[in-house]
Amino acid sequence: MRDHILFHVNGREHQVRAAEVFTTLSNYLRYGLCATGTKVVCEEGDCGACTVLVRRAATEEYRPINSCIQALHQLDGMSIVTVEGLRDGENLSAVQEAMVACHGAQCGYCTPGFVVAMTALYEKHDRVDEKQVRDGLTGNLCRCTGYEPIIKAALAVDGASAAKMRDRYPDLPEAGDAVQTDRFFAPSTLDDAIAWKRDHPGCTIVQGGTDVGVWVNKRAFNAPAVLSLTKLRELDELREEDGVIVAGANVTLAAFERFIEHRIPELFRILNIFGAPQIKNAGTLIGNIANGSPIGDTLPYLIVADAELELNGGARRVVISDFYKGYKQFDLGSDELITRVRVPIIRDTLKLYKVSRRRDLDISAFTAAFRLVMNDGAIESSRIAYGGVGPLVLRLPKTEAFLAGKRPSLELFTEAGAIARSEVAPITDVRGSKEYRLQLAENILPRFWYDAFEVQR
Amino acid sequence: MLAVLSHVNAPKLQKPQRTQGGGGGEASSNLAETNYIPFSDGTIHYLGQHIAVVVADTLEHAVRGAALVRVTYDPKPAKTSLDEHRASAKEKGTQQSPASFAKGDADAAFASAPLKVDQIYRTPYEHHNPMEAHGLIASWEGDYLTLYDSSQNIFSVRRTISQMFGVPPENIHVLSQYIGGAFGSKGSVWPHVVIGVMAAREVKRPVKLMVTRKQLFFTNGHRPATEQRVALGANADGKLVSIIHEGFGQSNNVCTFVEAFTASTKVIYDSPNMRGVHRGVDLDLPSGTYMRAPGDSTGMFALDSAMDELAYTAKIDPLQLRLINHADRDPLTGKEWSSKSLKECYAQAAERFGWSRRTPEPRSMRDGRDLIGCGMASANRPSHRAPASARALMRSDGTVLIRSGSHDMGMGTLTVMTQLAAETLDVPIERVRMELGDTNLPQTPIAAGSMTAASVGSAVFGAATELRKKIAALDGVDPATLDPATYTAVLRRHYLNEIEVQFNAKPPEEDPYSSHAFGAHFVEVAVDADIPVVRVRRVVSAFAGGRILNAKTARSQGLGGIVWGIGMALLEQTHLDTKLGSFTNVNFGEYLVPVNPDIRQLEVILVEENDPHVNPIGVKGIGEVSMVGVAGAIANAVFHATGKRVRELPITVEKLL
Repeated sequence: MRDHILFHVNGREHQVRAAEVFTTLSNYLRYGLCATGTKVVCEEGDCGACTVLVRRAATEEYRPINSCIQALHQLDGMSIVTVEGLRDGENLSAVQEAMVACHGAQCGYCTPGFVVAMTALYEKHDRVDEKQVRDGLTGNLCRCTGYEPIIKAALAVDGASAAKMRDRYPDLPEAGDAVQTDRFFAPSTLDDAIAWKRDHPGCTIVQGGTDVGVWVNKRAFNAPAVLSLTKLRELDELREEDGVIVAGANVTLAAFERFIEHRIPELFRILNIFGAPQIKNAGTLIGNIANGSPIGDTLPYLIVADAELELNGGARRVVISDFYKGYKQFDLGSDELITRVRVPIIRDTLKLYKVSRRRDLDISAFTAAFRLVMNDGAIESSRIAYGGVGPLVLRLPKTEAFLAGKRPSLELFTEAGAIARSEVAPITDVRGSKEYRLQLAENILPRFWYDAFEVQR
Repeated sequence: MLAVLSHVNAPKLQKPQRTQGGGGGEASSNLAETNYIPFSDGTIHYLGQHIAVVVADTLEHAVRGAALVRVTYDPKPAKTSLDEHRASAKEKGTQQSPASFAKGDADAAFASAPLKVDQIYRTPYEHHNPMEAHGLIASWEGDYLTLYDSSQNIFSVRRTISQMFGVPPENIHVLSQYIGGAFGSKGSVWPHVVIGVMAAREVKRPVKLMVTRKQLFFTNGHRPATEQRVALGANADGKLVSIIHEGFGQSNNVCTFVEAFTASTKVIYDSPNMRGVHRGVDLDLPSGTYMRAPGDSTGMFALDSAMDELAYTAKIDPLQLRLINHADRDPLTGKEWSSKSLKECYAQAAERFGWSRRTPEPRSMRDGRDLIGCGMASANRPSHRAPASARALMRSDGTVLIRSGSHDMGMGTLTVMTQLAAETLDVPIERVRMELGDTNLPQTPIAAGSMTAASVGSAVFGAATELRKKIAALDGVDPATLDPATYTAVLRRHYLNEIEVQFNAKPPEEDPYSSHAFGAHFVEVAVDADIPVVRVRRVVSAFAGGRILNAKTARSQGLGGIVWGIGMALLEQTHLDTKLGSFTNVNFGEYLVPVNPDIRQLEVILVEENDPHVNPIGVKGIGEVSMVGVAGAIANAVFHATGKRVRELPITVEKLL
């Protein structure tokens, strides 16, 4: 059992042990290594100024993440490249040159984060289009430039001649074995993980840490024990089996998004505006499920698709809608872990909605999923799930029953909207008022009719 | 832990003299919270006020130490609601914008006007949120202080700290060479600066103090919420006969700031009768301060919304209504404009936008399920400058060094000043370097009010001009005929390694002209018919800001200002819990600023102007005019799209239901 963690920063190995493994990567870089190019602005993954590149395995690319909400213990076995590592000796990198040429920097504080995020774009591709650039930079805020010069800079990079970080920093530290130091444990067997969780009440499982990292920074959250499943390679699993996608606990939202692009395009569309690449590269699908937020963006689909959670490697299976018992209350024992999720690929009529104030990088005010089984032009059965209108993502049984056996029309869905409105009890918060959410609960049904039936005509 | 300082044990500090308000011209003492010295007594004026500081050897220890501090409070009733305390509004002015103005009899003219608009408009609390939070490193050696501060007003920091700590200004060295954005929030000396300097003196070690993102929502200023009445009276042909603009904004009793939202009303449209007044309602809340285009951005939202309402009432095209009411002279003072190209801005932007293709009826334009709307508004921002100095030095190898206190927080000061010096001396720009952000360099004013280019530029231009003269004088030749290629030869001939001049630029005491940058915005929005979220599809803006020193940096200021306007119109708002007197959405997850997908097609047209009067270099400043009017243009476009007039920012979906 190792008593320390290992990672590379710009090609150099670092070992960290004891309480220091709970330090955020950004603080370690800035205070520990005096690598102050990485800026800390929001401390919660909302701005991208602290973006660094991380490579987890030899088979993977360097991908951008937010270093302010990554604890060092999450980085065992990884290779990290910071903005300081991009320069080629005395010369600026191709991305940096483009930012200078296009006047992409004004005050300069967001610039390192943008430069790193842009570099990630060119790790995968030699040429990128505007859509890729805009998606790739969604997680980076700028308060000066108005973005346009930055987008232009990203498009102006000569990607073919740009140095690839995977060539410059090809090595990863050997770190497949279990680690235990201070309150942190990354076991190499599932049994050890289950035992640790059972024996440490209040134990927090930290995978992507995109929520836990915010609690640590903003609420002084201090877990009595932290468990990582990342050494359990069997939980890296991501495959399709008989029309069902099986995703292990280590599968990131980004990996899941790529996997479903052609399998479940509608969910892919929602994941695309789910959040920033930096968040999706760190956060996991099962983390989103286990967090159980009523506005979790994957949940409406998982509920109408009847996804199943596999606990303790298959010892028990729970249908997702039974998993949630109340606000942040789960059907999960103290000696149980979610190891995999089984996500059916829906081929019925399907539409998903995410409504937020800002188009992107914003927590939803309201989410919805509609799944209709059609038979000879009539609705045989339907499943409707709404998020953001109650303490849980809700199914709407009355609305579903009303639609059964009827032929879709604007009038039908307008009437269904009124029923849906009566089935929910939203509250007012910073993301939207109760009245707005009620109105959305109603309006989204005729809108669904329009998107699902009218547009095709 | 090294120290815990609070009013219980903090050293007594002097109250600084306030030589000028608003941090304007002279390096005034500019303690933001004039009537409050940090840790001077146990009074807590508002939630979020600094009450103690913990100094430790690491950040972790300091944070842990702060969590251990126990405070006992003696509660007093607090006034926190602008609405509830509206009756206590008092006239409050600023140096640039006195509390009130009047011309003719606005009320009588309004009463008898054939066409009328009389409405209330509201703007919310907003926070600057520069990417870099406020912070400093203070290091004392005996009575000498080195202070690295993220400041857009270093000379004022020096003066204020000097007076408060009783040490001569020449003992204090303030450096602010790189600033991660400011937008007005770093123009004043906020209490944390005083506290950091105090802590370093007490523990006799350098102290680093960073304000957290959450703290800066309480301790470093905000744009105060306002409620404004605009009453417009017009003849049937649309000619204004009366403009009334009055209302109030949040203020408090420790800071003199008030949101001077009538400032643009005095200059933008012509009317024989006009009056304006802005008042402050002192609440037990954190202090407001100037935030990019203070007064003008909030005031013009109200005024240009009202103009749009008048256009529909009068059935006149909104652009035509503005042309009818174009002010050929400064409407209040009667002064001539030093230059004005607002009509060209309207014309060029309207043409580029395709304004003539707009159908006038609300809800008359659609694209699929989206309602489409087009709106426009005017922009204005006064062109000020303040005394500034610069030194220009040429070495015998032909390199030039320009030195001026000044600041560059992303506007491009270093770039344009280097360029200006190179042009004036007629040498390649690669040979010129500039140093700034340091109180050991010649004095300059605050970097605010869109006046850096004009103020520092006049000094740099003067210094470069004088340097050229001084070199010519060595050989007794006419500077105009001196060949720049011979500079180094002249220096060597006179056995000089280098030659330097200082130039102190001052604006005239009395200005016979009225100087303003003007502009126009044209906006297209799409409003989803089912979930009425507003998206700005397109903005075309034209600005006339005098001479444009650098088209790239000026254009960037334009784009940035438009994006600020989009944020103001649709997203930015700090919510206040009036029960606690506390701002609630104090992070980037809940205080929304635009992200790149919110920004679609923006176009900036720079209308070149030759202004021989405004200052020696003909520059008016462009950093703020770009933002003024955007919110109004968007609100007007939303009305055109939906038929719903939203008179309260931001325009959220709730207001369109």
